[in-house]
Amino acid sequence: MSGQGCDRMMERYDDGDRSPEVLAHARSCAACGRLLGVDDAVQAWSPAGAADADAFLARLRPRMASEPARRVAWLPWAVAAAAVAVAAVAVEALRRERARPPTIVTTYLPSPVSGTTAPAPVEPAPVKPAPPDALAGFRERLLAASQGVSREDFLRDLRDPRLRNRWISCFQSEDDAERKAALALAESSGDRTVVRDLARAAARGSSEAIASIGRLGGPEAVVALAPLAGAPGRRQAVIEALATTGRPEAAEVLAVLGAWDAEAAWRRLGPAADGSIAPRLRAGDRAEPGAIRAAGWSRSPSAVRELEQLLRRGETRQAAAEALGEIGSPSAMAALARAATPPDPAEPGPVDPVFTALKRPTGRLELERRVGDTRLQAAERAAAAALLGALGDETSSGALVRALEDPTLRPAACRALAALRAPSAVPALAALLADRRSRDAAAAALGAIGRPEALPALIAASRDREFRDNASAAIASIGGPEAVPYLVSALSDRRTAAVAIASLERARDPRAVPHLIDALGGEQSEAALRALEAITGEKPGRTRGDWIRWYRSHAPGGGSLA
Amino acid sequence: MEPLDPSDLQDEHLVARARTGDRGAFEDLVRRHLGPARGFCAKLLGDAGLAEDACQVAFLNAWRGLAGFRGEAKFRTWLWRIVVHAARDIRRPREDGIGDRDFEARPERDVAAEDAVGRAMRDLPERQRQVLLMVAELGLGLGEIATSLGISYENAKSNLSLARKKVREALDRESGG
Repeated sequence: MSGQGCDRMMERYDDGDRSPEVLAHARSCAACGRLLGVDDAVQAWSPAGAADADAFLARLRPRMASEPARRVAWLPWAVAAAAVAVAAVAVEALRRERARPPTIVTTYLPSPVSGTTAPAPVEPAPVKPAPPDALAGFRERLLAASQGVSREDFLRDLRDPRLRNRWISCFQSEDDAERKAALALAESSGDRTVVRDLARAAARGSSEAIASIGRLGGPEAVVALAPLAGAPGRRQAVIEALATTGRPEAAEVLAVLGAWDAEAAWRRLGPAADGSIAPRLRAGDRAEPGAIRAAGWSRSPSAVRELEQLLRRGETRQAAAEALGEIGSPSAMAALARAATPPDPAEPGPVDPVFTALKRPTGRLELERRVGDTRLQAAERAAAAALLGALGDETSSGALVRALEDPTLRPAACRALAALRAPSAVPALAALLADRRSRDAAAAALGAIGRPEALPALIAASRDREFRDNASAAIASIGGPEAVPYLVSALSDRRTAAVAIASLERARDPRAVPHLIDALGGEQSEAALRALEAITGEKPGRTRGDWIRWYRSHAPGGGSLA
Repeated sequence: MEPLDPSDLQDEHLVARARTGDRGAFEDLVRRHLGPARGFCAKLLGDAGLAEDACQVAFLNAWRGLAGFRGEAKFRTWLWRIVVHAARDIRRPREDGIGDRDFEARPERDVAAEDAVGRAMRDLPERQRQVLLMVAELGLGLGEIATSLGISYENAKSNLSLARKKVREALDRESGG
């Protein structure tokens, strides 16, 4: 930034403006940072410990009692007027508050506008002045207290400024045991007034102090950690500590820092990051790519709607799909289900990333729900059925079989069941062979499933001349050794014999030979002869007698005909 | 009137209640502002005990003077002015007994242990120290500071600039830079 820009920023700072823009400039600009470093040093400088507010008020109260505040007669009216004015300002502030993303300040400041409250004051224990020799044996007591020995007594003694200052100085001690004990005690004490002292130690290079600030937690910790991230070599430690706080403000800081690659931190923050991520996805063309990934890692529930919008844009479709998949909630899966395109087996090409993101149990469950949701349009339900088929998980067959009950869904459900090759669907599909509008799709599905249990129904259905071709195709698809008994039984019916012989010819199973010899001389004699020649590779003659002789001389054990 | 931020709104509520004699509301105000006030006084005076006394005087004066607070400035601005005066006057003998407690019981200031910032601050003229502390410790703007101290904006700005320069130089000397 130019010198003039720096001057403007410094003027704003000196006029009391502590907005993120000004603070970010102060952190990034060497010249301004050098000057404002003085302010930081002065702020961090702690000349003496302090008693708590209750002790202070205990001294103040008797003096206040002896001098009551001077009341004014018009005060009740003034109070009422002030309340109205304050309410008006509060409503306006609330409107503005809602119109912009939360900041660290608006989130944690106690305020009737933001609706937040200050941390509850800790009930003070009675202050017992430390004895003059309290510093003697301090190290031993500190080490013991960090292990839990006389911890409460020791913490109470730390109200004494001498002991407190000694404790705080230990945050930077060269003595490893002493330093670790002091930091551990700070973390477990819950005393957030030491955050600033820890931050001072952290600013001087202590990564342990950074971690301790994170573990101590609270909004104060976030405020202390934020400026530390700019120091070289400490960014990662600060990011981890911010995540440890689990505070929504920490997510805001991570976002401001642009720490979008910090996967572990976002995962750790989880839904606490919600308020910081979703607004950054609403930027339309300028949606932050890192924020899309972070939305997935943190499983941000309110990001789902924005991510669904981003699915419609080519450049963000894949990232948004992956994020929704990571979120994995029913609403995320519903968004994916609405936008997914199943792969077309006839035209292999790149698989739609939205479809890939659905490949998880919650995706399958959402699709099954959509198939059964009668409030949805038939086309939407059919699309869900198609996606289930493409996912290829046979456990979905139950939902698809139930969908067969709805005539409008039958073709789609049949195709999906065909894709799943689900044996459990055979009875339901076989039953559909009696429905003239659905039988073609059902037969195709039965053929694709390939289970011989479907053959009796298919063979029976093939008696209808109009359906014979489709039934034959399905029967032919089933084939295999298990089909032979069913096909043989169909030879005795003149309406099904031709289909059965053709299928037996394709099956090339020697068990069919005696049954085909029996069929010689009948209506399908020519077809049976072709089948026998194809199966045996022999041409002993054209009559039934020729084949009986051949069979007796070639069949194992002399062979016998039925 | 200056624009209110959410924190000031809470102050306004509490002030309105305290002006009707509600001590609980005033105690809430004390809790909200004691930290910065005490930090300011301790750093200005270099003595925690004196700082404590100055804060007692300041809040007592604020309680006494609430009826005169017209709300023309923010409560904080008004309070800081009282705190600054209390810190300036605390070394003078008082009639109300504040400051007469056992000074021997207070820890002596350990000059050897005092760090570079402490030394640099001690060496500043009082006005510069006040202005720098009001910016750094209380987060006040120059306009509020000028009002609190009864000086012009330019005067406050010039004092701030000089104070920063001197402390910066002292810190650089200390670090050998």
